[in-house]
Amino acid sequence: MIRLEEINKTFNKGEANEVSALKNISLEIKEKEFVMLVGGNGSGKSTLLNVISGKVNAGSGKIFLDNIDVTRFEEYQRSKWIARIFQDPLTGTAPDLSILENFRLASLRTQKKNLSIGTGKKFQEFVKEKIAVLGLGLETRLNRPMNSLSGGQRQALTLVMAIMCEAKVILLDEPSSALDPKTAVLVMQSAEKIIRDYGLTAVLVTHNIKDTLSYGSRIIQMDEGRIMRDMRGYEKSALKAGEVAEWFG
Amino acid sequence: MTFYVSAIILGLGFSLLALGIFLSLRVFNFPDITTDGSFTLGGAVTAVMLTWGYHPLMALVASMVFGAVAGMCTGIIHAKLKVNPLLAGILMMTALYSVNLAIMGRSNIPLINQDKIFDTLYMSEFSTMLSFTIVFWLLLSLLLKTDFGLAMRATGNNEQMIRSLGVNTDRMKITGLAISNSLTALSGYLITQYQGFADINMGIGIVILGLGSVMIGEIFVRSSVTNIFIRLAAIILGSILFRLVLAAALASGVDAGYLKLVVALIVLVVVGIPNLLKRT
Ligand SMILES: Nc1ncnc2c1ncn2[C@@H]1O[C@H](COP(=O)(O)OP(=O)(O)OP(=O)(O)O)[C@@H](O)[C@H]1O
Ligand SMILES: [Mg+2]
Repeated sequence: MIRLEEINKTFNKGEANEVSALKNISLEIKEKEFVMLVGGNGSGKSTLLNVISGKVNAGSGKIFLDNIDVTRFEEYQRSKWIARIFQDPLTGTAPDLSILENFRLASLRTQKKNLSIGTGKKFQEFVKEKIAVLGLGLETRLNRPMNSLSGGQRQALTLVMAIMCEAKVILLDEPSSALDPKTAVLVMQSAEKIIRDYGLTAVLVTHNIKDTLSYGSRIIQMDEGRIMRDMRGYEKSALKAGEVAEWFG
Repeated sequence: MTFYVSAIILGLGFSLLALGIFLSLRVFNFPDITTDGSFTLGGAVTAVMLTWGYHPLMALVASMVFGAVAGMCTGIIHAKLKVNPLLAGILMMTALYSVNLAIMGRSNIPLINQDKIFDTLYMSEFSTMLSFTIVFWLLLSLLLKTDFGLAMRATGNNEQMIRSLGVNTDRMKITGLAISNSLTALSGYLITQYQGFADINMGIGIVILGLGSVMIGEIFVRSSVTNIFIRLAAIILGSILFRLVLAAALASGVDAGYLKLVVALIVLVVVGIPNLLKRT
């Protein structure tokens, strides 16, 4: 589903503050794999997601999605495949637009946004049904602006918005680390449910060791722009919290 | 009394400019001061075409198209050449001064015997202005409710998000500024015919009228209101109120030379007072 070939990324090339954020990364992620991506601060996790989504251009190397070479595709062209969730719950939604309007945009994703009004009764019912899955009671507040909701509520809605379209890949960058523990659990559980129910291919960055053990089918550890460990299946399920903690010295 | 009627008519005429400013400033988060130039541009095109004997409806289309092109230029300068919004607007505004002068051929064109839009429509100045305002209020509200309009609003609201939803935000901004400036030029078209002349300086400082109207209008709607029809109606109301306050100031004996000072003070009060209240 996602294939990276010898990706390098250097920021501020040739300057005193040159950083080599990704060093010769080659990686294949299969369809429906759920990768937990871990690593210390500055190890290149976010940069890796940004290179996959096209937000950051790879310095060299090739990127394939669904066996299509997308290396030269702009971010908005890759969004046909990719949905993203960020740490800051504010990034995934337009604050002044209503819940309903945000969902309308999310549902269109790759389609052209043309001159028809798509927020009618039928669509409202459809959205209500999707939101009700969260069990937060937000389905009765479709016309409220997003900025009237809490961070956790917005993050949970962002997750649901991600599945309004046919994107097959979801990239989550510390989706729950800005939330209180209870809301964080809710968001992680919603994420897992959605990824499993919709058969998505997912990469989730986290610093929470417990989460890396409870979720995901594969774990990748990065350090200084390189992949240090890569485990899946039985190997991953046999991991203990202490072992993972040791990786970070 | 006619004094206040004329203020309301002007308020309606300028409300189109205010809607344009709402689009650039609030929808796109883009402080666009091309306005000064594109307002005069609308007036210049109108005056020249009417003097040449063109139909007022032809002049309507032409001034809106010219305004749209001016807005597109600002958008392209900003989006493609990465020039910051204020500077992009100043550049276009400056360039437009010469363009407007070239179109007009002289600094003032009176319209005395020419047929105006009011004559064409067989309507009073008041009902003409009111009709234009209502039509464009409806059109803009509907536009902003369409999928395209939602994408526009999200562009100014959360650019990263809407880009990740597959929208080319550069193109959105260019289109938005085109629409915004064509509304401004439409305002210039109407005001020119109402006052009976076009002047090369008619647009100087006009952007503040739009900003002021938007801000006055926003006093009347709570931010939790997402209904775009109501939000835009409030701005039209803001434009009319702005004009009424100015008229009242003049009627109470303020020298016309101080009008711009009064305008600046009104906007300052509208912007400043809420901040002052919030802090305590
Ligand atoms: N836009 C940028 N310009 C310059 N340097 C950058 C940029 N983005 C990232 N870097 C650098 O690249 C390196 C990798 O950063 P990245 O954000 O990918 O780390 P991370 O693994 O996500 O860290 P964290 O866990 O703190 O989020 C860091 O040294 C960082 O300073
Ligand atoms: Mg990061």
